[in-house]
Amino acid sequence: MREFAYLIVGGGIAGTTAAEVIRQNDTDSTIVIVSDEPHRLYSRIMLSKPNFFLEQIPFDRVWLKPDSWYGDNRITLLAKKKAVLLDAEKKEIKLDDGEVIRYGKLLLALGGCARRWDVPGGDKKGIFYLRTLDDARAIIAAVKSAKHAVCVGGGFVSFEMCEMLRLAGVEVTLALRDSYYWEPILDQPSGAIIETALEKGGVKILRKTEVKEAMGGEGVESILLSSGERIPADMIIVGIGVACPLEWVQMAGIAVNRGILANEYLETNLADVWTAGDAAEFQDVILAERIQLGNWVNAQMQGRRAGFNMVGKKEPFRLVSFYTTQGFGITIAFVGDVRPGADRTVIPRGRAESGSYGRIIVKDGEVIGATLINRTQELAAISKIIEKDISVADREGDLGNSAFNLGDLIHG
Amino acid sequence: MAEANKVQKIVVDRNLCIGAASCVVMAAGVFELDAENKAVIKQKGVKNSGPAGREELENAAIDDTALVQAAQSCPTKAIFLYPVRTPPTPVGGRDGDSLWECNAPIDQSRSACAYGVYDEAGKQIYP
Repeated sequence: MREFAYLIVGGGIAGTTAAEVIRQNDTDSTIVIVSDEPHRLYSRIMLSKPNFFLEQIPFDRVWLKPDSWYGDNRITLLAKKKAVLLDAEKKEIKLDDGEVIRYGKLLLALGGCARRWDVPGGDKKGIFYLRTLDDARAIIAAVKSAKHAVCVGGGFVSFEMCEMLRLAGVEVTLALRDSYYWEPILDQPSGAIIETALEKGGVKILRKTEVKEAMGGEGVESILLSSGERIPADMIIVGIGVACPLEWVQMAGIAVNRGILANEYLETNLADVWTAGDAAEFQDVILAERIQLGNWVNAQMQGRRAGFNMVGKKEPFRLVSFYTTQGFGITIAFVGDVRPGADRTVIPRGRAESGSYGRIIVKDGEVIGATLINRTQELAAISKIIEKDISVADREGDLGNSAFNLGDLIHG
Repeated sequence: MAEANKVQKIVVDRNLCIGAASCVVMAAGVFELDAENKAVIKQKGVKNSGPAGREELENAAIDDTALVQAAQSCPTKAIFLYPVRTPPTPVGGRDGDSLWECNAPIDQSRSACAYGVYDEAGKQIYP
């Protein structure tokens, strides 16, 4: 049986960054990364960017480590292998090829999985998800001959895919189940700004739309809506969120909810088992709540922190993370916790009609998150306000006044 | 005594930058995002994507390690660091593709301009 001091499940940015940090701090121990993808580390965040898709950025730019990096750093990469069973008592992981590997310390950096589109015909050729490099390759190939595309779902993936498809000259219909874009994370005025930008860019938006079936032969040709309307589609890109099966983790006795539960040190409830990245549902010390985030910086910095913690340089994970995108002439940025909830107040900042509109989310007298449309320049100040737990209990007027400089709250 | 800082000039390639902001997390005193979601370098009295000389930085004392970590953390490798104020003459780039003309040697394993710190002869010092 092979044995490694450090076993990392997941070869994405969280797992690979952890491996890198472990090696920098522990030159002798054995390290293995098990990845269910056939590739070395690549830039997953680049996959949805129109410039990458339309090959304005050379494809090779996607690789973040040369092949030789793993060998040079004595990190074993077991690619195209899936962990299927964990015995935390024996400290063994079983892979889908039957091999059992023993570990000293384990990191579960499993990433996210695209939620499957559960409609009849949903498995036809021409229906794509965007999660892996191979998914992106398949979409790049399909776009070249596509005439009519349908994007399903309103979120970052759809926004970026709509722009990519329009730039490629493809006719695009966006099917939303909700009554506006990004409901209920955004409010209606924010959604409307995004929709206006999409429509100006030539995207046809269908709201409150239920897709009944994906029609066609082997490959998809159209979608049938519950209204009876049929929309032509020679390709469909589905972006309806993430959901991962975690049964094998749970069966090992690890506490899970939507993600793998972890404390502020990214430790799970079992000894010598950590988690990081999109899969981790962790105790956020800044927000003082448990949260699961699916963004690049969070995964990268959690991998870093987990790596340090695994070699004994133990500190809590502290980061205000965010995700930004731009397209159709607008910029969108989400920072911190943007989930709506009864225990939080949303303060609108700026006027939606002006096109530059933010929402600052306050809980227990402190800012915990914000959504910014065409206001990215305020991202730095808001991150600081969240990070420093600055009380804004009596400052709601200032937060809502777009002429007020948010930076003044930090030093004031 | 600590070794003198080698990084003398920083450039962000705005065509490559996608606003992931890893650099902002790694070196908040140097980088932030602008209104177009692109990374800019905080300099005395001005914020832009460079080229920015070390003396012009708001935080001119930042050490090389933080800058190199910021450059390395970039998911599109859009940050270029140079050891001299005037970088070596261009030695590479993809033929006919102006996006890839940069003042740094080609890293063969990436078939694109490498990031890192180079000495006057074009030899990579970092990472």
